[in-house]
Amino acid sequence: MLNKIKSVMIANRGEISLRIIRACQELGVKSVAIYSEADKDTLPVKLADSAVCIGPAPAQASYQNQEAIISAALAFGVDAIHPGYGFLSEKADFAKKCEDNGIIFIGPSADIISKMGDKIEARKIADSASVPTIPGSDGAVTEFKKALEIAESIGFPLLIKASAGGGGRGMRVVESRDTLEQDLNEIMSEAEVAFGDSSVYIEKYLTDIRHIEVQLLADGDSCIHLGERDCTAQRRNQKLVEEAPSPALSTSQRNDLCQSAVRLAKKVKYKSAGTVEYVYDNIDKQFYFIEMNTRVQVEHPVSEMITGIDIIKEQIKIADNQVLNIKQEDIVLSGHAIECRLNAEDPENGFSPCPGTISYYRPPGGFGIRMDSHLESGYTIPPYYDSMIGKLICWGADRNEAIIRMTRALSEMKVEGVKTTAKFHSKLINSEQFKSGNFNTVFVASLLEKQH
Amino acid sequence: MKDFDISLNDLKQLTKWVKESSDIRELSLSYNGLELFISRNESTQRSVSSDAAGTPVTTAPAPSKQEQPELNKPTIAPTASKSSPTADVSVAENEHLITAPMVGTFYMSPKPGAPAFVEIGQQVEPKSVVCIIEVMKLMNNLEAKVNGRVKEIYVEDQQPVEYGQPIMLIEKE
Repeated sequence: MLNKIKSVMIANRGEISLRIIRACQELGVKSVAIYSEADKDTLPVKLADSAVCIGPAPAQASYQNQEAIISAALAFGVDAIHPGYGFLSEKADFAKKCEDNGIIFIGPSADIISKMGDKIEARKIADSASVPTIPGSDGAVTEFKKALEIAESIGFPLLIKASAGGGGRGMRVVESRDTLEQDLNEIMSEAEVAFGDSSVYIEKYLTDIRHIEVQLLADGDSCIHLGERDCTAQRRNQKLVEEAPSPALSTSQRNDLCQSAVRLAKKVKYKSAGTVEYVYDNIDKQFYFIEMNTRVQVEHPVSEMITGIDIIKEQIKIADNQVLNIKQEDIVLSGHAIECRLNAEDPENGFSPCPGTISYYRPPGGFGIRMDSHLESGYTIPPYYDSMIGKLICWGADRNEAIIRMTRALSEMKVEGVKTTAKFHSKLINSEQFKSGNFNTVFVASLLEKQH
Repeated sequence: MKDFDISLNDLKQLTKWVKESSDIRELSLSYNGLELFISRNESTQRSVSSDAAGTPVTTAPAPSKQEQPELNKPTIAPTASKSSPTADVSVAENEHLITAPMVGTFYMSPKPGAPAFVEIGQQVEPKSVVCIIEVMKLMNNLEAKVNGRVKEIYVEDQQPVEYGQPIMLIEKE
């Protein structure tokens, strides 16, 4: 089935490593798992054709250790590396090292990764591809008068960010024209003092938003979309529940959104699986580009469930230089899919992580259920990595059936020995607001507040 | 073994023989203070140490993947273990286990065909180089770290090794 790729090293761990191993097995490709000392008894290590220990438990010394992974790929002679998500998946320098060492990086080129990873560059590309971006200044503004002009043309509320700031520092929301001059003056002189650079970005401040993204497959020439995913149910910017299609979009909005994502990918001759992320303003019913993720995403199964397309297999085939043999008209969105990210966390205690040993595990089953997880009875969740223990994905003929099925599956599943977010997920998807489909990114926070 | 001198003519004969034998890519000979190295690999560079006991300065003895894709492409991980790499090695109190500090390719000798750094039974000092681990074309010398005698060597020349994989057992003295 594949021409150049006969073996793939999976530079990741946990459920995504397993997901990629399964795709390799179905493609008839040898899978080589890598693992840290903390992960030696895990399912990916057991199920891969072979496995290589690459370092001690801390991620910097193992899963993020570029030299160790390239060295393992060279010493053990693999054709390609799949980075999964997180870790090295969007590190342009790692993709470059693979290219330099004659190893196929399963993802876009280093050049595309760095281009799309640069927010300002990506916004410019989006503008040039007529993809809507949040109204605001084109790059940094240094002159006070110019900043005032831009601010007045955008309208209120506004967000002013110091160019040199970050992590919430040097940011201010301006509610109305009344305080604009004073706010702008202050933030610019503060930035001058704090960062030695008074320049600012100005953009429309969106208060009632959803997070919607479009899944793409592109072979460098043609590009198709697999519809959108709605990831609005978040807690502190961590996605909890994802679904497809989005309950907020009309057919024509969906079409506009997905077409804009395809335009963006084509503009950069994108080659791999990828996702274009947007915010959707519930107030003015507009979508705006925020960034492109040049990797496979945690929530990709949601799109697989409603299209029947195996995204990982297609991604590997594209890396093998094959032409995409699926056409846009072949893609039919069928039914509704929901994914719950299950974490070993205690929702009663501020979602603090709960590493430990799973004394008993019973996965859910039945029609329309998919459990992507590396859990087994007796598995010990190490404290070194993130707390996700699996993803439960449910398909239903419509959104209502998907919610009912997910509720049923969550109660069927048993994970003993550690605390999990399963019960919380059940509450979340059965809340009146989630059921109505009418909510925004702060909905989970307000749901949690109501509980206490 | 009886000593005899090598004449220039002998060397010429030897070189001719290597040249005509297409199945020899590299030849290394060390005899009575004489060192000879012949290679077909154009990009292979090396420095020759005349002092056999000294720590050799190594520069890329390993045929790289691109240079010899057919000849030296390692097969996939028949040795990659699925359990702990250290599982079946027991270390007594008077022994020191040398493990791979990084994943890479193991080399017994400073260059292909050259005598191994150490052999079983050989005396080593803390600073004695016992092998090389190649990581992305960088040659890393591993030292014995203790005074003693080589008791076991667990891996074969040019074998890929995992992080933490047992390489050698030294009996401390």
